[in-house]
Amino acid sequence: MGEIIKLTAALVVISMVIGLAVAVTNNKTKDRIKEQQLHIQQSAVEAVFPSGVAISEHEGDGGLPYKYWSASDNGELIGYAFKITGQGYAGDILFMISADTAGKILGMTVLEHNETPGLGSRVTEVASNKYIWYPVGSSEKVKPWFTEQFEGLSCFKPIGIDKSGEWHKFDAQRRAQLQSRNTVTAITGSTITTAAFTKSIERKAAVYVASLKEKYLEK
Amino acid sequence: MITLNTLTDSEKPAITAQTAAAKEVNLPPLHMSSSPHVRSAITVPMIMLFAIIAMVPSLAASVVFFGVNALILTAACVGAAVGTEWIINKALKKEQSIGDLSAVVTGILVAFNLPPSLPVWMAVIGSVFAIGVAKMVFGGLGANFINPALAGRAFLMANYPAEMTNFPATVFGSINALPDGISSATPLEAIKTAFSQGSFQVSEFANALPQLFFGNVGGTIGETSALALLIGGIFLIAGRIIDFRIPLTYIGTVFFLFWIANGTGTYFTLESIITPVFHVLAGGLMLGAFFMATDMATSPITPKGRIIFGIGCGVLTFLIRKYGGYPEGVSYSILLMNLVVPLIDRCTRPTIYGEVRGRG
Amino acid sequence: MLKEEVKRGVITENPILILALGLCPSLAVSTSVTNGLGMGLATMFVLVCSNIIISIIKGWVPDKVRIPCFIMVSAAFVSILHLFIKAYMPLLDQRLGIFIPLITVNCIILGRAEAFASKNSLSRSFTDGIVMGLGFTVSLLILSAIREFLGSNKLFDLMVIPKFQPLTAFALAPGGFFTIAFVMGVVSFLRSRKEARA
Repeated sequence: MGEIIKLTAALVVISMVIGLAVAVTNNKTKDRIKEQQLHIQQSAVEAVFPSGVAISEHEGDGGLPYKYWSASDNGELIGYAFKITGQGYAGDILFMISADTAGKILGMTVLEHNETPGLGSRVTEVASNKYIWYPVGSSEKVKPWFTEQFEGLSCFKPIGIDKSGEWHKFDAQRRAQLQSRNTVTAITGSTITTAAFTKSIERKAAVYVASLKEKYLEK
Repeated sequence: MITLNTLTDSEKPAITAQTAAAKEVNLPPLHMSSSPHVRSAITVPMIMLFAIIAMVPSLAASVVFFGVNALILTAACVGAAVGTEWIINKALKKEQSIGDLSAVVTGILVAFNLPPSLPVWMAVIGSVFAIGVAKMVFGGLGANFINPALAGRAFLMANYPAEMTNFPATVFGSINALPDGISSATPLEAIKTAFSQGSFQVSEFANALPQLFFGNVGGTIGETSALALLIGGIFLIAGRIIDFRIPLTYIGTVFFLFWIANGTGTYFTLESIITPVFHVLAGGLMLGAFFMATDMATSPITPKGRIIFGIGCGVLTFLIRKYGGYPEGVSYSILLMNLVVPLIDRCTRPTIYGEVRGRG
Repeated sequence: MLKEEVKRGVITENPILILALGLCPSLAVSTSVTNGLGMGLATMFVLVCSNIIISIIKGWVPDKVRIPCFIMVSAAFVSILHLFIKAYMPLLDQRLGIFIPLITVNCIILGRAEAFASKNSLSRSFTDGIVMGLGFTVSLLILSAIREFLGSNKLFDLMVIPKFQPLTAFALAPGGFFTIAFVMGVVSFLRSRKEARA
C-alpha cells in the first residue's frame, strides 16, 4: 500500500510541475502564435492580389464559401479571393484564387496538395535562380509558372488544356495565343492534376464570382 | 537444375602428400570434393551466352523500329553494368566476376525496359542501381532476391517518371490502335482508356494485332516485337536454359483472365479472343515471361512452385493492367512474386520417399 | 576529456549510424539540410534539458515508474520547445510540421535517459546530452546533404548543378531508406576494417 502511494505521489508531483511549466510557456507565447498564424493567412491572400491593395475578409452565405476576401485599391473594388478545393490525382488540392467581377483571374496560389512528386507536385515548381555558388542571386518573388499561366484567363468560359508543351518554355507570342483561347498548358504527364484546377475553377470559382457579382450589382 | 561443378584454381585443394607422391610416379593428381559428383559441360558464361543470343532478335527489332538510339542505350547499359560490377568487386577485394557475362545480360535487360528516348545518363544510373544495389550488395550472381533488371527499371520509374513514360513513335510512324479521339503513346494505354471511357470497340483493336506481333508499336525497346521475343523464348526453352512452365503459365493466366474480361460480352466467338490476344502481345508481357520471370536466382526451384509462380505473376499483371493505376503491370507483378519465391519453395518441397511431412 | 566525449558522441557511439536510435525522424526530416539542422538542434535542446532534469531527480523517482516519469520530462520540454518555435520561428514549424512534437518519442531521448542520465552525475549527463545531440545533428546533416543534393539538386534550398534533373526518389521515403542503409553500411565497413587491423 505504501508503495502505491509513493509511486502515485511521484507521478502526480512530476505531472503537476510539468503542467505548470507548459501552462506558463503557453501563456507567454499565446499572443505571438496567434499573430503568426494570422500573418500566414494574410500572406496567402496577398500573394494572389497585386501589391499595395487593401484586403478585407468577409463571411459568406448562400452560394458563397464560408470565408472570402475582397481587395480594393483606393476605395475601388479590384476583385475577390477564395480558397477552392479540387479533386487531384492523389486527393484534394487546396488553392487560393482571385478574380475580378468580370471573372478575369488575377492570381492563384497552391496551398496544400498531395500530388506525386516529380509529376503533379510540379504545380508549385519555381525555377529557382539562386545557386549555392552565388547565393546573392535575384531575390524578387518568382511565381510558379503553373499558377502564373492562369492569370488573365476568364473563369466564366471553359478553360482548355494544351498538352503540346509547358508554359514556361513558350515565348510571348505563344503565351498570348494560349490566353486568347482561354487555355493553359498541362504539366507533362500530369493531365489529371491540371484538370483538377481547370474543372474546379469552372465549377466553383465561376459560381462564386457570379453570386458576388449579383450582390455587388445589388448594392 | 543443372549442377555446375567447375572448380576455379583457388578452389582446388592444395596438393597433398598423396597427390605429390602420385605425381612422382606419373599418376594424375587426385581432385577431392564432396558430393554431388555430377559433371556437366555447361558453364555460367555459356548459359549467359545462350541468353544473349536469344535477345539478339529483339535487339535487331528495336534498331529496326527505333533507330540507332536503341543500340546506343543498350551499349551504355551494358557498359555501365559491367563497369559497376568490376568496380565493386575491386573495392570489396573479391575475385572479378565479370567474366561470367551475367552483367552483360542484366545490362541488356535493363536497356530492354527503357523507352528509346531516355537520356543515356539516366539509363546508366538505372544500370548502376540494378547491378550495384539489386545484385552486388546481396552477394553477386545467384544471391539476388529480386530481378536486377526490373529493380533498375523500378528505380528509374520512381526517379524519372516523366521521362520513363515518354514513348516516341517508331521510325515508321507507329499505329497504336487509335480509335478516333483517343491519343496515346502505347497500345496498352489506348485499350485502358477505351475501357475506362466505355468506348471499347473490339474491331478497332483487332486491326492493331498484326502491328503488335511484328513490333510497329510504341513502347520500351525490348517489348515491341512479339515475334522477336517469341523466337528468343523458344530458343531458350529448346536449349533447356529456362523452364517452359513459367512463360506458359504466366502468359496462359493473363490470356485466360482477359478472355473472361474481354469486353465484348461473348465467350466462344472469334471476337472474344481479341482482347486476350491483344494483352498477350502488347506491353512487356512476352519480355517479362520469357526473360525476366525465368531468372534462375529469383524463381522457384520446384516444377510445382514454378507453376504457382507463373499463375501468381499472371493474376497480378491482370489486376494491375485492368484495375490498377498503371497501364502496364508486368514489372511490378514479377517483382512482387520474386519476394514470395522463398515461401513458394518452402511450400512445394517434394517429399522424400518415406518421410512423414511435418509442419513446414 | 571533452575531446574524447565528443569523439564518443559523434563517431564511436553515433546515435543514428551506430546505435540505430532515432531512425524514424531521421528518415522523415533528412530531406533538406535546413530541416536536418533545425531538427538536430531541437533534439539536442530537448536531450540536454531532459538529461539535466532526470539526472537531478534520479534519486527521487521510484524505479517502477521511472519510464513514465522520464517520458513526461521529455514531453514537457518538447511542448515548451514547440510553443517557442511556433511563436518565433513559424517557417521552421511549417517545414518540420508534426516531427517537432514527435521528438518526444525519439528513442535517443529515452535511450540516453535510461542508459546514462539516470545513472550518472549532473555534469556527465549534461555533457552526454550535448555530444549525443551533436552526433545526431552531424549524421542528420550528412544524410540530408546526400538526399537534398540527389533528390532535388539543392543544398540549403539553393540550386547546385545547373540543368541536372534530380533523382526525385531520394527526396521521398525510398531514398531515405536507401541513404541511411548505404551510409550505415559504409560506416560499418570502415569499422570492421579498423577492427581487423587492430
